[in-house]
Amino acid sequence: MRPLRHPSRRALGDWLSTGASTRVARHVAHCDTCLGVLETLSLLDETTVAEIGQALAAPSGIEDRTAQGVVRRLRDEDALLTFFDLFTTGWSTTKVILDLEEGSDD
Amino acid sequence: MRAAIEQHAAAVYRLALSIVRDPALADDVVQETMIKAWRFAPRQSDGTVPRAWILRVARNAAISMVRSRRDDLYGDDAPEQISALTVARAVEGRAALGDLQVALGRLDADARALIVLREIDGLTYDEIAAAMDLPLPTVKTRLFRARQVLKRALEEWQ
Repeated sequence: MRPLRHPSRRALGDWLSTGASTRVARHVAHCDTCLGVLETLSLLDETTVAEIGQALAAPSGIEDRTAQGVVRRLRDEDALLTFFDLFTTGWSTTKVILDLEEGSDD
Repeated sequence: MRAAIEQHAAAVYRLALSIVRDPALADDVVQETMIKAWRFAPRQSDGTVPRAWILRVARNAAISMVRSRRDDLYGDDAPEQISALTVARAVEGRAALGDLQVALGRLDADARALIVLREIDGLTYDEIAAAMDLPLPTVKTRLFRARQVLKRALEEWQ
């Protein structure tokens, strides 16, 4: 049986940069060995990771701000539902009366 | 609900910001996600909300927000990929945003999300696959390619 052949480290590096080779793409999708090599080749240094963390950091007080925003949204939803109920109450009442009147004909 | 906010709000914000690239929209995503978590989230045995579940909800909410904003901006002429828009914005504002923001702008929203989930929040590949609704090999290959694009982009400005 022919041993499984892998793309060279250089081919994997080229694919990482360009994504051009569909043959390499097909291979790495099913090869843990090559995925391991790709993981190593693409590792980010600590400085870059720290910079990304800073660039996308959550602002201080996000928890309190979120809690307040959630409460406000839920209250707005409740108010909207009450408003909707006010508009539909008339129709609901009419329907009940009509149903009762229809029932009394039987 | 407060416990879920304390536990997940910062991670949800980071993920949302990586996708929508707008702090105000990211705030909206966090609030929407927490309301959904309060109403629908499955609970683990200790009563907490699973991290992968909440990040998945956040990712979907962020993508929906980007799409609706893109539709608002462009209507029927909306470009297929939001990345083109974000890249253009990032390049225009390079001096203010910094090289890293430019580099992040070269990635599409999912690639930025993968970087955040793995590099900043330290999720396992399995957790990322669950959060992003992607097969495990796809998570790995897209993450590794995203890291490489980021590295290359940063090298250009050294």
